[in-house]
Amino acid sequence: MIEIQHISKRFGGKQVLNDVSFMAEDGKVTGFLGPNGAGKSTTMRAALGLITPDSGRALIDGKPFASIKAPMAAVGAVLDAKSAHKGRSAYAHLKALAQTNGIPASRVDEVIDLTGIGSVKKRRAGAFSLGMSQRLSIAAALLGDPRNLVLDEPVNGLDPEGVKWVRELCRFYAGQGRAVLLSSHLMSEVALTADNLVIIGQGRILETTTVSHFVAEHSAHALRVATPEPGKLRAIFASAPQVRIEPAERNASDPANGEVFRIAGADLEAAARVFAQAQLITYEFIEEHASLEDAYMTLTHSQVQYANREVPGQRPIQYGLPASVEPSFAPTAPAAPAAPAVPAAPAPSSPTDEPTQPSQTVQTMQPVQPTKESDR
Amino acid sequence: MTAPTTTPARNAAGNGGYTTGRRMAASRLKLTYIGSVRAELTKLASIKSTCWLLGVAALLIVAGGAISAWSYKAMAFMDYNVETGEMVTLTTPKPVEAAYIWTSTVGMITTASLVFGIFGVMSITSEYTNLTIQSGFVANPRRGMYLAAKATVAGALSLLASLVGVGLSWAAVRGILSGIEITPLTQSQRLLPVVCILGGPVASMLMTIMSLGLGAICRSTVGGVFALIGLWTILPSMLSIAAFSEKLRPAFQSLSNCMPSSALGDFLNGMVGNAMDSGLSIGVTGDSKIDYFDPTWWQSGLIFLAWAAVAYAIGQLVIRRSDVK
Repeated sequence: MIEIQHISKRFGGKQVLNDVSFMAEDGKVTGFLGPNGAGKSTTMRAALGLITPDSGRALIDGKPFASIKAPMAAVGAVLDAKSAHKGRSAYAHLKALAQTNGIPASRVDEVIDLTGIGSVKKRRAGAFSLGMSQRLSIAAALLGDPRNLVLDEPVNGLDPEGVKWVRELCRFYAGQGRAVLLSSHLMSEVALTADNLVIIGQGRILETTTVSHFVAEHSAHALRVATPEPGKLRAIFASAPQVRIEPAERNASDPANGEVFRIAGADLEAAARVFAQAQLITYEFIEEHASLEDAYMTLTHSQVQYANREVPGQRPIQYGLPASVEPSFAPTAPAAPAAPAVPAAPAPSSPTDEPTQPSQTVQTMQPVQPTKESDR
Repeated sequence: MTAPTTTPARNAAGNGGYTTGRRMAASRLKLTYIGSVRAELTKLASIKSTCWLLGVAALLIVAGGAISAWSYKAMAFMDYNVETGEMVTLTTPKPVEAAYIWTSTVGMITTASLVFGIFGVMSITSEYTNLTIQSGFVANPRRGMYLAAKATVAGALSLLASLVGVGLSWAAVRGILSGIEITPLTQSQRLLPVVCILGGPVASMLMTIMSLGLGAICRSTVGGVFALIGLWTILPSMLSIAAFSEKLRPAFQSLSNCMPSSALGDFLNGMVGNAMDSGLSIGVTGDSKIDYFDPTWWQSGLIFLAWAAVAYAIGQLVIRRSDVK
């Protein structure tokens, strides 16, 4: 277990950590998320005694790291991909680390095989690619078969197979009852791997939650409708106070005609039936989902340390859904509309008595949310 | 992946090596000083710069001894004719004092010490440059032990290299001066062989440790080497120049005699007490009073030891308190 207790740290005049507290539990993968410069690496280094906090403390299995009898059996850490002497071979690097804690040489060969760098173990670390260096760092972390893993962006430089391997490694060790603290700035990757989430921004903890709770809380969705009959639309939901209809800003993908609305609190299928019953003409009818990335960026946007200038032609990023969007729940059956059925048939065909089928293109505008439950 | 269990399964053997079971149970592993020393030996032996630096230092000692012996041999065949006022070549060489054999043997140690110093600086600063210090401190968070192990190994390697150099140098000097009569050591010089054969290598070891301390203070190769050169050559030169001032001469001369390079030179050659003593006799005539601190050879040895101890102690303090970002 890794406990971070009220750690604060200032470098020069800058407060880089401010009362940071959280716990990486045994048997769980704790995702430690934050934008660049948020304090993730600093927190991890404080946990490992590389940085002395101004206040607070970090405990590994209830003890300060420096007092542990066999540090490599307590913690395996991946901090920097390029952390081996450029002139030293991978084997010598691992052997030297193993010797400090009395780890047998056979274990060195084992971790080399585990990480797939057996063919280059005698090569100088300076000749390694980023991916190979990252694998070497992971090998060093696994040397002591540690009870806790501290991984600072371990997938940097790895190919997709390597990324998948790290993900499975984290899950395996958590399944063994060990604590895994995994930092990243990629919500999508962490969402696939972690059980718990700690989100940090500008040295402060913004949120401490579980991945499932975060997904549930931020999986708000709304219906996007473009219709030439705004009055009829409002009338449809007039007797459903839990449903909110708001004008939406027109996107490039919206049809040129009609008015665009965002409807929150209405179920997709129920709304589709009601639109059909009321013969409401729709030029666009889709369900919008807030992605985890959007939710994470909404949470951390104001805490971003290094904001880039937008690329010319890039549409300004709209972080998350408007504040009026609420999580969906089953709506009550809306009252039958009293509005006249005035279908606005598209030219040149003449109006017919047949109700125009509303656009039932049900498609998500945002990427499909990761189905974490199926991976467990 | 299946749902995680809450009880550790460390005793499970196999798992393809992802778990190790009892053979590597935490109770069997321990961070030790001996283990750290072995690790430092593995580290230093695995990089080429170690061999290069120590090899160059040893060769310098041998080369210095050979060149010095050759110059003594040349002087032994030459004499000054008072009547003609010219130097003449002798058919039979003059005797050479045994003290000069020993001072020749270790004559280049002061120069080679710079190489030992660079080795000492780099043995710690390269860890910071290559970010190896992170994995080093994670494996061994007891920084005092970490630096002590490094000082032990780096010092021992320097001692060994210097011993080899001194041994080969002595053999070269004896070989070059063979066939020339050697006058025995005086009573006051009886410890000179011990000082040279053992003291020289020990001084090289102390130089490495002092430089390791400087490297730990600076945590940068450029900074450490510059601090070393500053302490070894630049500062003594400045003090020597300042010593020309009559008013400040006693103070600056005393300081100059206490600088590491002067202390090492006096330690190795002080027993001989001739003009090879780095020019300390300048301005001192037989009847003049010495109004500055002029240490004896053993005092110089202690001063050099103090430099190494202080630099190492400050390096320990800095390395324990500094953050590794």
